[in-house]
Amino acid sequence: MTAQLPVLSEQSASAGTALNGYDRTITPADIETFVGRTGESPQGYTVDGALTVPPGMLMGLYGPLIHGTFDYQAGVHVSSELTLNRLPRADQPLCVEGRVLDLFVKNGNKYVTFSVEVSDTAGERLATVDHTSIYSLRAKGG
Amino acid sequence: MTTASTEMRDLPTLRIKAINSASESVGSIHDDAKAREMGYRGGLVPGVTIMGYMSRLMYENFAGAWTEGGTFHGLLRRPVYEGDEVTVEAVASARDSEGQIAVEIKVIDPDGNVCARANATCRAESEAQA
Repeated sequence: MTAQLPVLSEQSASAGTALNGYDRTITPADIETFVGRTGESPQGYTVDGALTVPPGMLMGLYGPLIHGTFDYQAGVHVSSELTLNRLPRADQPLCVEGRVLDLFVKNGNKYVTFSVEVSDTAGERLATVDHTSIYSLRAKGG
Repeated sequence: MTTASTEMRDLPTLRIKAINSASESVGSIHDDAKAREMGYRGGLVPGVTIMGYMSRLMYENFAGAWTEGGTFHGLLRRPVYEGDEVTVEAVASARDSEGQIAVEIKVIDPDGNVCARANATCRAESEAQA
């Protein structure tokens, strides 16, 4: 599928380029899988009797956004800057949108920074995340 | 942020055995073969998982005081590999004049290398386990 997408480059991903948004509903099973990787229990995320989505999962919502817009397989995640307004509940439909903020080169590596906005279906912004990844590593020894 | 006190306190440390949940993502940096081709020892544990270790620490200590209006800025500095036993350490500042706490978090690998770090802020008034 990614063969039909443009390769992430200075030409295809200039600042301001919109990423292909998507809708996502995070289920209790998704949460159980995630907290299994971080050594937690889903019960810890039950608030007022309702299971909520761990903040770490919100940072992972960038994946389908960037991979659904560009041919971008061997990226290296560098940083995430998360601002939380409210945690969504499990099974709550979410809208994930984003855009490219910047492309830059540092020490021979090529970086992309993009913003991600997670909202509910009423348009309330629940969280924003600015991600930076290396999309092209410099050659080893170079 | 204006800090009223420079006093810092340690938060409870976490120890977590890393799992590379994306090792079957062929052609990605998480795939052993591709990662070795790129000069790494093996497939990298996803950065989101490492961020999750640090956000876990924030949530366990501050819960809603963090998730409602809090911030988190995580930086990934070195690879974490499948099976690594990492330590997550953090220190929290005293409440500042604006009612905020600043937290510094580190993820440390078995060799003592800092693999990731984060700075986070949250409200001070309703710390869950202060």
